[in-house]
Amino acid sequence: MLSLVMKVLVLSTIGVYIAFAFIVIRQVAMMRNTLKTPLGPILNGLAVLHFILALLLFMVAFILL
Amino acid sequence: MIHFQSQHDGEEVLLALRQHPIVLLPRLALGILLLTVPFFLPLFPFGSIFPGVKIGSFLFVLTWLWVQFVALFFFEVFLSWYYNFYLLTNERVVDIDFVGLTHRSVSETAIRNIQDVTSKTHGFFQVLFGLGDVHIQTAGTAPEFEFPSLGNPEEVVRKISELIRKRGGSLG
Repeated sequence: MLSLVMKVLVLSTIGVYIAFAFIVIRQVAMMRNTLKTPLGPILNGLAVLHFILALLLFMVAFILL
Repeated sequence: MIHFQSQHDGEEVLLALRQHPIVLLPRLALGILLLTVPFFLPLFPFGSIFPGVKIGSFLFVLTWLWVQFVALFFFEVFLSWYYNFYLLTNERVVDIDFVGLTHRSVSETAIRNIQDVTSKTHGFFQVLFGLGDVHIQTAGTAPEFEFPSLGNPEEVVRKISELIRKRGGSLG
């Protein structure tokens, strides 16, 4: 029972973090829209990679915990 | 090559300035400190506090989440520095600020509105690294632009003054 409660808490936290990671993608898009720089595509790629890793973490946590 | 959203046809970016990277050091140091937190987790008796729980798995997941969070912290520190620009074009001065995740502020004034340009160096940190703040007094809606912690601020003042002279204006 304790394990289940902790699992739900951790998954909820990661869920909130995923939403946050999506906002970061939108933030980078807004920044790139305002200013076009050579590093823009790389920063966009990093934001997307971060989001994908957050999703992966959720799946790993779901399976592992 | 920098191009910004409200840039006109024929408008050329002459100077694209940011704060000197040295200003990132305090936050980077904080990020490195945050990275050390997972190393202290095994010291806590989680097995006794949470009996019957797969502690190893929880610690793995939480460590991953923490490291990713700190990586995001570093990313946000960089983004905040990288995209906060002070632009000098052949037509105007533009101050682009991003605050937090969703707030953007763009202030601008035409070159002809500039009344005074000064650089100020203050504090041990700025003197040590040759930094300074550039202040631009204008006759526009935004009365003053401040570009803090620039490297070589005197050169920035010289370039702005030169541009104003080229456009037939004068300072003071």
